[in-house]
Amino acid sequence: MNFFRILIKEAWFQIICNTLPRRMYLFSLLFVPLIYSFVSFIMFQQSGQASFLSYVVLGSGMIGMWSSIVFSSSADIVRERENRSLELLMATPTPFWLIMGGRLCTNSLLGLLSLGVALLIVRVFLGQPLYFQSPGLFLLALIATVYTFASLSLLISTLFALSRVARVLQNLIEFPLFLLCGMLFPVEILPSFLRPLSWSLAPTWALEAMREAMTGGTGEFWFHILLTVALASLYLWLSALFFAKIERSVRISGTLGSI
Amino acid sequence: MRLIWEEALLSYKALFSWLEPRAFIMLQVIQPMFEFTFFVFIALFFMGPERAQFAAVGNAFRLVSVGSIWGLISSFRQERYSGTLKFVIGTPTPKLLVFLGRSFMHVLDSLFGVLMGLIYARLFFGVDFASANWGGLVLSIFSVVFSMLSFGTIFSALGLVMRDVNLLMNSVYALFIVFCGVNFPVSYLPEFLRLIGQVLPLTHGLEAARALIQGAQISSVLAQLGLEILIGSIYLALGLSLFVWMESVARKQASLDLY
Repeated sequence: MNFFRILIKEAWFQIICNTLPRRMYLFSLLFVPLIYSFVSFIMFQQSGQASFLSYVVLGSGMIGMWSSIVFSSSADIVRERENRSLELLMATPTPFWLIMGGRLCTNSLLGLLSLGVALLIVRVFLGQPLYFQSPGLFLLALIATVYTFASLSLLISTLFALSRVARVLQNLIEFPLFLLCGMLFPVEILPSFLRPLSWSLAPTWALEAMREAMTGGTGEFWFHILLTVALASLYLWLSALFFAKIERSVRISGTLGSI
Repeated sequence: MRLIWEEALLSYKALFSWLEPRAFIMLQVIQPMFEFTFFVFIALFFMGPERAQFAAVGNAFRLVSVGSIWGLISSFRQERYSGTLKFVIGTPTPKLLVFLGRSFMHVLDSLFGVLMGLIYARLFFGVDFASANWGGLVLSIFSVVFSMLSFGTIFSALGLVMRDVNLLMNSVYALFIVFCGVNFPVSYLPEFLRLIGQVLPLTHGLEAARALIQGAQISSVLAQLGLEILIGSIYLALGLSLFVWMESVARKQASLDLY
Protein backbone atom coordinates (compact mmCIF):
# COMPACT_ATOMS: atom_id res chain seq x y z
CA MET A 1 0.00 0.00 0.00
CA ASN A 2 2.82 2.33 1.00
CA PHE A 3 4.56 1.43 -2.26
CA PHE A 4 1.66 2.67 -4.38
CA ARG A 5 1.13 5.75 -2.20
CA ILE A 6 4.74 6.79 -2.82
CA LEU A 7 4.47 6.05 -6.53
CA ILE A 8 1.35 8.17 -6.84
CA LYS A 9 2.82 11.03 -4.79
CA GLU A 10 5.97 11.05 -6.90
CA ALA A 11 3.91 10.90 -10.08
CA TRP A 12 1.85 13.89 -8.95
CA PHE A 13 4.99 15.81 -7.96
CA GLN A 14 6.46 15.03 -11.36
CA ILE A 15 3.43 16.36 -13.22
CA ILE A 16 3.03 19.51 -11.13
CA CYS A 17 6.67 20.50 -10.64
CA ASN A 18 9.00 18.83 -13.11
CA THR A 19 7.24 18.35 -16.40
CA LEU A 20 4.22 20.32 -17.50
CA PRO A 21 5.35 23.72 -16.13
CA ARG A 22 8.67 23.42 -18.02
CA ARG A 23 8.63 24.80 -21.52
CA MET A 24 11.64 22.79 -22.66
CA TYR A 25 9.90 19.61 -21.57
CA LEU A 26 6.78 20.58 -23.49
CA PHE A 27 8.97 21.33 -26.49
CA SER A 28 10.39 17.79 -26.39
CA LEU A 29 6.99 16.26 -25.77
CA LEU A 30 4.92 18.13 -28.35
CA PHE A 31 7.14 20.02 -30.78
CA VAL A 32 9.80 17.35 -31.42
CA PRO A 33 7.29 14.79 -32.82
CA LEU A 34 5.82 17.55 -34.96
CA ILE A 35 9.21 18.32 -36.53
CA TYR A 36 10.09 14.68 -37.10
CA SER A 37 6.72 13.71 -38.48
CA PHE A 38 6.87 16.61 -40.92
CA VAL A 39 10.47 16.01 -42.05
CA SER A 40 10.06 12.25 -42.33
CA PHE A 41 6.72 12.66 -44.11
CA ILE A 42 8.34 14.86 -46.76
CA MET A 43 10.94 12.14 -47.31
CA PHE A 44 8.31 9.39 -47.13
CA GLN A 45 6.50 11.00 -50.08
CA GLN A 46 9.57 10.27 -52.21
CA SER A 47 9.61 6.60 -51.25
CA GLY A 48 6.46 5.59 -53.10
CA GLN A 49 5.86 2.92 -50.43
CA ALA A 50 2.54 3.41 -48.62
CA SER A 51 3.52 0.91 -45.90
CA PHE A 52 6.37 3.17 -44.79
CA LEU A 53 3.81 5.52 -43.23
CA SER A 54 3.93 3.43 -40.06
CA TYR A 55 7.61 4.42 -39.70
CA VAL A 56 6.68 8.09 -39.95
CA VAL A 57 3.93 7.94 -37.34
CA LEU A 58 5.39 5.52 -34.82
CA GLY A 59 8.98 6.72 -35.25
CA SER A 60 8.13 10.40 -34.77
CA GLY A 61 5.98 9.59 -31.76
CA MET A 62 8.66 7.45 -30.16
CA ILE A 63 11.33 10.07 -30.83
CA GLY A 64 9.26 12.68 -28.98
CA MET A 65 8.57 10.20 -26.21
CA TRP A 66 12.22 9.27 -25.69
CA SER A 67 13.38 12.86 -26.07
CA SER A 68 11.01 14.09 -23.34
CA ILE A 69 11.86 11.17 -21.04
CA VAL A 70 15.61 11.66 -21.34
CA PHE A 71 15.29 15.42 -20.98
CA SER A 72 13.16 15.14 -17.86
CA SER A 73 15.16 12.32 -16.28
CA SER A 74 18.47 14.15 -16.56
CA ALA A 75 17.08 17.59 -15.77
CA ASP A 76 15.35 16.28 -12.62
CA ILE A 77 18.56 14.87 -11.22
CA VAL A 78 20.60 17.92 -12.20
CA ARG A 79 18.02 20.15 -10.51
CA GLU A 80 17.99 18.06 -7.34
CA ARG A 81 21.78 18.16 -7.30
CA GLU A 82 21.97 21.93 -7.86
CA ASN A 83 19.28 22.53 -5.22
CA ARG A 84 21.26 20.38 -2.79
CA SER A 85 18.30 18.05 -2.33
CA LEU A 86 19.75 14.96 -4.03
CA GLU A 87 21.54 13.89 -0.84
CA LEU A 88 18.33 14.38 1.15
CA LEU A 89 16.36 12.24 -1.29
CA MET A 90 18.95 9.53 -1.06
CA ALA A 91 18.96 9.71 2.74
CA THR A 92 15.18 9.32 3.18
CA PRO A 93 13.94 5.88 4.28
CA THR A 94 12.11 5.52 0.96
CA PRO A 95 14.34 3.70 -1.54
CA PHE A 96 15.80 6.09 -4.11
CA TRP A 97 14.85 3.79 -6.98
CA LEU A 98 11.22 4.01 -5.91
CA ILE A 99 11.29 7.81 -5.95
CA MET A 100 12.92 7.82 -9.39
CA GLY A 101 10.67 4.98 -10.55
CA GLY A 102 7.53 6.98 -9.75
CA ARG A 103 8.84 9.96 -11.66
CA LEU A 104 10.02 7.96 -14.65
CA CYS A 105 6.76 6.02 -14.96
CA THR A 106 5.03 9.39 -15.14
CA ASN A 107 7.48 10.58 -17.80
CA SER A 108 6.82 7.46 -19.84
CA LEU A 109 3.05 7.79 -19.56
CA LEU A 110 3.15 11.49 -20.44
CA GLY A 111 5.40 10.54 -23.35
CA LEU A 112 2.40 8.90 -24.99
CA LEU A 113 1.23 12.42 -25.79
CA SER A 114 4.06 12.55 -28.34
CA LEU A 115 2.57 9.61 -30.16
CA GLY A 116 -0.78 11.39 -30.07
CA VAL A 117 0.82 14.47 -31.65
CA ALA A 118 2.42 12.38 -34.42
CA LEU A 119 -0.89 10.63 -35.15
CA LEU A 120 -2.71 13.95 -35.22
CA ILE A 121 -0.19 15.58 -37.55
CA VAL A 122 -0.18 12.72 -40.03
CA ARG A 123 -3.93 12.12 -39.96
CA VAL A 124 -5.34 15.64 -39.70
CA PHE A 125 -2.71 18.04 -41.05
CA LEU A 126 -1.04 15.82 -43.64
CA GLY A 127 -4.32 14.12 -44.53
CA GLN A 128 -3.02 10.55 -44.55
CA PRO A 129 -5.32 7.60 -43.84
CA LEU A 130 -4.21 5.60 -40.81
CA TYR A 131 -5.34 2.03 -40.23
CA PHE A 132 -4.68 -0.20 -37.27
CA GLN A 133 -4.97 -3.84 -38.31
CA SER A 134 -5.17 -5.00 -34.69
CA PRO A 135 -6.14 -2.16 -32.31
CA GLY A 136 -6.14 -4.53 -29.31
CA LEU A 137 -2.62 -5.75 -30.01
CA PHE A 138 -1.50 -2.19 -30.67
CA LEU A 139 -2.74 -1.20 -27.20
CA LEU A 140 -0.83 -4.11 -25.70
CA ALA A 141 2.32 -3.09 -27.58
CA LEU A 142 1.83 0.44 -26.32
CA ILE A 143 1.69 -0.75 -22.71
CA ALA A 144 4.86 -2.78 -23.30
CA THR A 145 6.47 0.34 -24.78
CA VAL A 146 5.67 2.43 -21.70
CA TYR A 147 7.10 -0.33 -19.49
CA THR A 148 10.20 -0.47 -21.71
CA PHE A 149 10.86 3.25 -21.65
CA ALA A 150 10.25 3.47 -17.89
CA SER A 151 12.71 0.65 -17.14
CA LEU A 152 15.33 1.82 -19.64
CA SER A 153 15.18 5.37 -18.30
CA LEU A 154 15.47 4.04 -14.75
CA LEU A 155 18.62 2.20 -15.78
CA ILE A 156 20.02 5.29 -17.47
CA SER A 157 19.12 7.47 -14.48
CA THR A 158 21.71 5.54 -12.46
CA LEU A 159 24.27 7.12 -14.79
CA PHE A 160 22.69 10.54 -14.33
CA ALA A 161 22.75 10.12 -10.55
CA LEU A 162 26.46 9.35 -10.56
CA SER A 163 27.62 11.79 -13.21
CA ARG A 164 28.27 15.47 -12.77
CA VAL A 165 27.75 15.96 -16.49
CA ALA A 166 24.22 14.59 -16.69
CA ARG A 167 23.15 17.29 -19.15
CA VAL A 168 25.89 16.22 -21.55
CA LEU A 169 24.94 12.59 -21.17
CA GLN A 170 21.35 13.55 -21.92
CA ASN A 171 22.42 14.91 -25.31
CA LEU A 172 24.63 11.93 -25.92
CA ILE A 173 21.99 9.33 -25.14
CA GLU A 174 19.22 10.72 -27.34
CA PHE A 175 20.45 10.10 -30.88
CA PRO A 176 22.19 6.75 -30.42
CA LEU A 177 18.88 5.32 -29.28
CA PHE A 178 17.01 6.89 -32.21
CA LEU A 179 19.60 5.38 -34.52
CA LEU A 180 20.08 1.94 -32.98
CA CYS A 181 16.39 1.27 -32.36
CA GLY A 182 15.55 2.16 -35.95
CA MET A 183 12.99 4.72 -34.90
CA LEU A 184 12.45 5.94 -38.46
CA PHE A 185 13.84 3.05 -40.48
CA PRO A 186 14.25 -0.72 -40.10
CA VAL A 187 17.37 -1.74 -38.21
CA GLU A 188 18.25 -4.05 -41.10
CA ILE A 189 19.65 -1.06 -43.02
CA LEU A 190 22.20 -0.38 -40.29
CA PRO A 191 25.71 -1.82 -40.74
CA SER A 192 25.78 -5.42 -39.52
CA PHE A 193 28.20 -4.67 -36.65
CA LEU A 194 25.62 -2.33 -35.10
CA ARG A 195 22.73 -4.76 -35.22
CA PRO A 196 23.57 -6.74 -32.05
CA LEU A 197 23.39 -3.42 -30.20
CA SER A 198 19.98 -2.78 -31.73
CA TRP A 199 18.78 -6.22 -30.70
CA SER A 200 19.85 -5.63 -27.10
CA LEU A 201 17.62 -2.57 -26.85
CA ALA A 202 14.03 -3.25 -25.83
CA PRO A 203 12.57 -0.25 -27.72
CA THR A 204 13.71 -1.89 -30.99
CA TRP A 205 11.35 -4.81 -30.30
CA ALA A 206 8.61 -2.59 -28.88
CA LEU A 207 8.60 -0.61 -32.13
CA GLU A 208 8.57 -3.80 -34.17
CA ALA A 209 5.57 -5.04 -32.18
CA MET A 210 3.72 -1.76 -32.69
CA ARG A 211 4.42 -1.81 -36.43
CA GLU A 212 3.20 -5.41 -36.56
CA ALA A 213 -0.03 -4.48 -34.80
CA MET A 214 -0.50 -1.48 -37.06
CA THR A 215 0.25 -3.04 -40.45
CA GLY A 216 -0.48 -6.73 -39.97
CA GLY A 217 3.19 -7.60 -40.48
CA THR A 218 4.89 -10.94 -40.47
CA GLY A 219 3.12 -12.65 -37.59
CA GLU A 220 5.93 -12.27 -35.07
CA PHE A 221 4.02 -9.94 -32.77
CA TRP A 222 4.12 -12.19 -29.70
CA PHE A 223 7.81 -12.95 -30.16
CA HIS A 224 8.54 -9.21 -30.28
CA ILE A 225 6.40 -8.54 -27.22
CA LEU A 226 8.16 -11.31 -25.33
CA LEU A 227 11.58 -9.88 -26.19
CA THR A 228 10.40 -6.38 -25.22
CA VAL A 229 9.13 -7.44 -21.82
CA ALA A 230 12.10 -9.73 -21.11
CA LEU A 231 14.68 -7.04 -21.93
CA ALA A 232 12.75 -4.35 -20.06
CA SER A 233 12.58 -6.61 -16.99
CA LEU A 234 16.32 -7.17 -17.25
CA TYR A 235 16.84 -3.38 -17.27
CA LEU A 236 14.65 -3.12 -14.18
CA TRP A 237 16.64 -5.76 -12.33
CA LEU A 238 19.93 -4.11 -13.33
CA SER A 239 18.59 -0.73 -12.18
CA ALA A 240 17.75 -2.10 -8.74
CA LEU A 241 21.24 -3.61 -8.55
CA PHE A 242 22.98 -0.41 -9.66
CA PHE A 243 20.92 1.81 -7.40
CA ALA A 244 21.86 -0.31 -4.38
CA LYS A 245 25.54 -0.14 -5.36
CA ILE A 246 25.41 3.59 -6.00
CA GLU A 247 23.67 4.27 -2.71
CA ARG A 248 26.37 2.41 -0.81
CA SER A 249 29.21 3.94 -2.83
CA VAL A 250 28.08 7.58 -2.49
CA ARG A 251 27.37 7.18 1.22
CA ILE A 252 31.00 6.10 1.67
CA SER A 253 32.56 8.68 -0.64
CA GLY A 254 30.15 11.54 0.15
CA THR A 255 30.32 12.78 -3.45
CA LEU A 256 26.67 12.64 -4.46
CA GLY A 257 26.11 16.38 -4.29
CA SER A 258 29.33 17.38 -6.08
CA ILE A 259 28.62 19.76 -8.91
CA MET B 1 42.75 43.20 -29.32
CA ARG B 2 44.16 41.93 -26.04
CA LEU B 3 40.69 42.08 -24.51
CA ILE B 4 39.18 40.19 -27.41
CA TRP B 5 41.84 37.50 -27.29
CA GLU B 6 41.57 37.04 -23.53
CA GLU B 7 37.79 36.82 -23.76
CA ALA B 8 38.05 34.32 -26.57
CA LEU B 9 40.38 32.02 -24.70
CA LEU B 10 38.91 32.28 -21.21
CA SER B 11 35.26 31.97 -22.18
CA TYR B 12 35.96 28.97 -24.37
CA LYS B 13 37.95 27.25 -21.64
CA ALA B 14 35.23 28.07 -19.14
CA LEU B 15 32.54 26.72 -21.42
CA PHE B 16 34.10 23.29 -21.28
CA SER B 17 36.11 23.36 -18.06
CA TRP B 18 32.99 23.05 -15.94
CA LEU B 19 32.62 19.75 -17.67
CA GLU B 20 35.19 17.01 -17.76
CA PRO B 21 37.49 17.07 -20.83
CA ARG B 22 35.65 13.96 -22.01
CA ALA B 23 32.54 16.07 -22.23
CA PHE B 24 34.13 18.21 -24.93
CA ILE B 25 34.67 15.14 -27.10
CA MET B 26 31.18 13.84 -26.35
CA LEU B 27 29.53 17.14 -27.25
CA GLN B 28 31.69 18.21 -30.15
CA VAL B 29 32.52 14.91 -31.81
CA ILE B 30 30.43 11.92 -30.73
CA GLN B 31 27.00 13.49 -30.34
CA PRO B 32 27.11 15.31 -33.72
CA MET B 33 28.29 12.08 -35.35
CA PHE B 34 25.24 10.16 -34.09
CA GLU B 35 22.89 12.97 -35.07
CA PHE B 36 24.48 13.17 -38.51
CA THR B 37 24.27 9.40 -39.03
CA PHE B 38 20.65 9.23 -37.89
CA PHE B 39 19.48 11.77 -40.44
CA VAL B 40 21.46 10.21 -43.25
CA PHE B 41 19.90 6.81 -42.52
CA ILE B 42 16.41 8.33 -42.60
CA ALA B 43 17.20 9.76 -46.03
CA LEU B 44 18.69 6.44 -47.13
CA PHE B 45 15.58 4.51 -46.10
CA PHE B 46 12.98 6.83 -47.57
CA MET B 47 14.79 8.25 -50.60
CA GLY B 48 17.64 5.91 -51.54
CA PRO B 49 21.46 6.12 -51.63
CA GLU B 50 21.73 9.19 -53.83
CA ARG B 51 19.59 11.28 -51.52
CA ALA B 52 21.48 9.83 -48.53
CA GLN B 53 24.63 11.48 -49.91
CA PHE B 54 22.63 14.66 -50.40
CA ALA B 55 21.65 14.51 -46.71
CA ALA B 56 25.23 13.67 -45.69
CA VAL B 57 26.55 16.93 -47.21
CA GLY B 58 23.57 18.85 -45.79
CA ASN B 59 24.12 17.54 -42.30
CA ALA B 60 27.86 18.16 -42.51
CA PHE B 61 27.08 21.84 -43.05
CA ARG B 62 24.36 21.82 -40.42
CA LEU B 63 27.00 20.86 -37.86
CA VAL B 64 28.12 24.49 -38.11
CA SER B 65 25.11 25.28 -35.95
CA VAL B 66 26.65 23.39 -33.01
CA GLY B 67 29.52 25.86 -32.79
CA SER B 68 27.71 28.93 -33.93
CA ILE B 69 24.32 28.72 -32.24
CA TRP B 70 24.97 26.44 -29.26
CA GLY B 71 28.40 27.91 -28.54
CA LEU B 72 27.34 31.53 -28.70
CA ILE B 73 24.19 31.09 -26.65
CA SER B 74 25.89 28.86 -24.09
CA SER B 75 28.73 31.27 -23.42
CA PHE B 76 26.27 33.71 -21.77
CA ARG B 77 23.86 31.12 -20.42
CA GLN B 78 26.58 29.62 -18.28
CA GLU B 79 27.41 33.06 -16.84
CA ARG B 80 23.77 33.36 -15.83
CA TYR B 81 23.70 29.93 -14.15
CA SER B 82 26.90 30.76 -12.28
CA GLY B 83 25.50 34.12 -11.19
CA THR B 84 28.31 36.03 -12.93
CA LEU B 85 26.40 37.53 -15.86
CA LYS B 86 25.69 40.72 -13.93
CA PHE B 87 29.42 41.20 -13.35
CA VAL B 88 30.20 40.70 -17.04
CA ILE B 89 27.54 43.24 -17.98
CA GLY B 90 28.57 45.56 -15.15
CA THR B 91 32.24 45.86 -16.18
CA PRO B 92 33.32 49.03 -18.00
CA THR B 93 34.59 46.97 -20.97
CA PRO B 94 32.34 47.52 -23.99
CA LYS B 95 30.04 44.53 -24.22
CA LEU B 96 30.46 44.29 -27.97
CA LEU B 97 34.16 43.62 -27.43
CA VAL B 98 33.30 40.95 -24.89
CA PHE B 99 30.89 39.43 -27.34
CA LEU B 100 33.28 39.56 -30.30
CA GLY B 101 35.93 37.92 -28.17
CA ARG B 102 33.59 35.15 -27.21
CA SER B 103 32.58 34.59 -30.81
CA PHE B 104 36.11 34.03 -32.01
CA MET B 105 36.61 30.49 -30.77
CA HIS B 106 33.20 29.53 -32.10
CA VAL B 107 34.38 30.39 -35.60
CA LEU B 108 37.03 27.72 -35.19
CA ASP B 109 34.50 25.39 -33.60
CA SER B 110 32.11 25.83 -36.51
CA LEU B 111 34.87 25.18 -39.03
CA PHE B 112 35.81 22.07 -37.09
CA GLY B 113 32.17 20.95 -37.19
CA VAL B 114 31.76 21.22 -40.94
CA LEU B 115 35.16 19.64 -41.68
CA MET B 116 34.36 16.73 -39.40
CA GLY B 117 30.98 16.35 -41.10
CA LEU B 118 32.52 16.30 -44.58
CA ILE B 119 35.03 13.68 -43.46
CA TYR B 120 32.17 11.50 -42.13
CA ALA B 121 30.33 12.03 -45.39
CA ARG B 122 33.35 10.86 -47.36
CA LEU B 123 34.34 7.93 -45.14
CA PHE B 124 30.97 6.46 -44.21
CA PHE B 125 28.58 7.52 -46.94
CA GLY B 126 30.85 7.59 -49.97
CA VAL B 127 30.35 11.24 -50.93
CA ASP B 128 32.67 11.78 -53.87
CA PHE B 129 34.99 14.79 -53.69
CA ALA B 130 37.12 13.73 -56.69
CA SER B 131 35.91 16.52 -58.93
CA ALA B 132 35.28 19.06 -56.17
CA ASN B 133 36.18 22.68 -56.71
CA TRP B 134 38.16 23.01 -53.46
CA GLY B 135 38.69 26.75 -53.58
CA GLY B 136 34.99 27.32 -54.07
CA LEU B 137 34.09 24.77 -51.41
CA VAL B 138 36.29 26.53 -48.85
CA LEU B 139 34.61 29.82 -49.80
CA SER B 140 31.17 28.28 -49.34
CA ILE B 141 32.19 26.88 -45.94
CA PHE B 142 33.33 30.32 -44.79
CA SER B 143 30.18 31.94 -46.10
CA VAL B 144 27.98 29.48 -44.17
CA VAL B 145 30.06 29.83 -40.99
CA PHE B 146 29.79 33.61 -41.28
CA SER B 147 26.02 33.64 -41.82
CA MET B 148 25.34 31.05 -39.08
CA LEU B 149 27.46 32.92 -36.54
CA SER B 150 25.70 36.14 -37.50
CA PHE B 151 22.38 34.40 -36.95
CA GLY B 152 23.67 33.07 -33.63
CA THR B 153 24.41 36.66 -32.58
CA ILE B 154 20.69 37.41 -32.55
CA PHE B 155 19.94 34.51 -30.22
CA SER B 156 22.89 35.24 -28.03
CA ALA B 157 21.50 38.77 -27.57
CA LEU B 158 18.03 37.43 -26.82
CA GLY B 159 19.63 35.12 -24.28
CA LEU B 160 20.43 38.21 -22.19
CA VAL B 161 16.73 38.75 -21.47
CA MET B 162 15.24 35.31 -22.07
CA ARG B 163 15.49 32.68 -19.38
CA ASP B 164 14.68 29.66 -21.51
CA VAL B 165 17.57 29.80 -23.95
CA ASN B 166 17.56 26.01 -24.35
CA LEU B 167 14.15 26.26 -25.90
CA LEU B 168 15.36 29.01 -28.19
CA MET B 169 18.36 26.97 -29.26
CA ASN B 170 16.39 23.84 -30.02
CA SER B 171 13.79 25.78 -31.98
CA VAL B 172 16.53 27.27 -34.13
CA TYR B 173 17.97 23.81 -34.80
CA ALA B 174 14.53 22.71 -35.94
CA LEU B 175 14.41 25.55 -38.47
CA PHE B 176 17.60 24.28 -40.10
CA ILE B 177 16.40 20.68 -40.17
CA VAL B 178 13.13 21.55 -41.87
CA PHE B 179 13.61 24.58 -44.09
CA CYS B 180 17.21 24.81 -45.31
CA GLY B 181 17.43 21.87 -47.71
CA VAL B 182 19.61 19.88 -45.31
CA ASN B 183 17.90 16.50 -45.62
CA PHE B 184 15.96 16.97 -48.85
CA PRO B 185 15.82 19.63 -51.56
CA VAL B 186 13.88 22.75 -50.59
CA SER B 187 11.68 22.09 -53.65
CA TYR B 188 10.08 19.14 -51.78
CA LEU B 189 8.51 21.59 -49.33
CA PRO B 190 5.09 23.11 -49.97
CA GLU B 191 5.55 26.36 -51.90
CA PHE B 192 4.59 28.71 -49.06
CA LEU B 193 7.19 27.13 -46.76
CA ARG B 194 10.04 27.43 -49.25
CA LEU B 195 10.22 31.16 -48.57
CA ILE B 196 11.32 30.55 -44.98
CA GLY B 197 14.42 28.72 -46.17
CA GLN B 198 15.25 31.54 -48.54
CA VAL B 199 15.76 34.01 -45.68
CA LEU B 200 17.56 31.64 -43.33
CA PRO B 201 21.32 31.18 -43.26
CA LEU B 202 22.68 27.91 -44.67
CA THR B 203 20.17 27.39 -47.53
CA HIS B 204 22.06 29.27 -50.27
CA GLY B 205 25.56 28.43 -49.08
CA LEU B 206 24.66 24.76 -48.91
CA GLU B 207 23.20 24.82 -52.41
CA ALA B 208 26.44 26.36 -53.67
CA ALA B 209 28.55 23.84 -51.73
CA ARG B 210 26.71 20.88 -53.28
CA ALA B 211 27.31 22.25 -56.77
CA LEU B 212 30.98 22.92 -55.95
CA ILE B 213 31.48 19.36 -54.67
CA GLN B 214 30.29 18.19 -58.07
CA GLY B 215 32.88 20.41 -59.73
CA ALA B 216 30.93 23.57 -60.57
CA GLN B 217 32.87 26.77 -61.25
CA ILE B 218 32.71 29.52 -58.63
CA SER B 219 31.21 31.85 -61.23
CA SER B 220 28.15 29.60 -61.53
CA VAL B 221 27.38 29.78 -57.80
CA LEU B 222 28.32 33.39 -57.16
CA ALA B 223 24.68 34.36 -56.77
CA GLN B 224 24.11 31.77 -53.99
CA LEU B 225 27.35 32.66 -52.21
CA GLY B 226 26.53 36.35 -52.49
CA LEU B 227 23.06 35.75 -51.04
CA GLU B 228 24.49 33.72 -48.16
CA ILE B 229 26.92 36.51 -47.29
CA LEU B 230 24.24 39.17 -47.71
CA ILE B 231 21.84 37.29 -45.42
CA GLY B 232 24.68 36.83 -42.91
CA SER B 233 25.51 40.55 -43.01
CA ILE B 234 21.89 41.49 -42.37
CA TYR B 235 21.70 39.11 -39.41
CA LEU B 236 25.01 40.41 -38.07
CA ALA B 237 23.79 44.03 -38.19
CA LEU B 238 20.53 42.98 -36.56
CA GLY B 239 22.28 40.85 -33.95
CA LEU B 240 24.79 43.48 -32.89
CA SER B 241 22.09 46.17 -32.63
CA LEU B 242 19.92 43.77 -30.69
CA PHE B 243 22.83 43.00 -28.40
CA VAL B 244 23.24 46.66 -27.43
CA TRP B 245 19.47 47.01 -27.00
CA MET B 246 19.03 43.82 -24.98
CA GLU B 247 21.89 44.83 -22.71
CA SER B 248 20.01 48.00 -21.81
CA VAL B 249 16.70 46.12 -21.46
CA ALA B 250 18.35 43.58 -19.15
CA ARG B 251 19.78 46.38 -17.00
CA LYS B 252 16.41 48.14 -16.79
CA GLN B 253 14.48 44.96 -15.99
CA ALA B 254 17.18 43.69 -13.63
CA SER B 255 16.47 40.33 -15.21
CA LEU B 256 20.06 39.19 -15.79
CA ASP B 257 20.15 36.69 -12.97
CA LEU B 258 16.74 35.17 -13.50
CA TYR B 259 16.67 31.59 -14.66
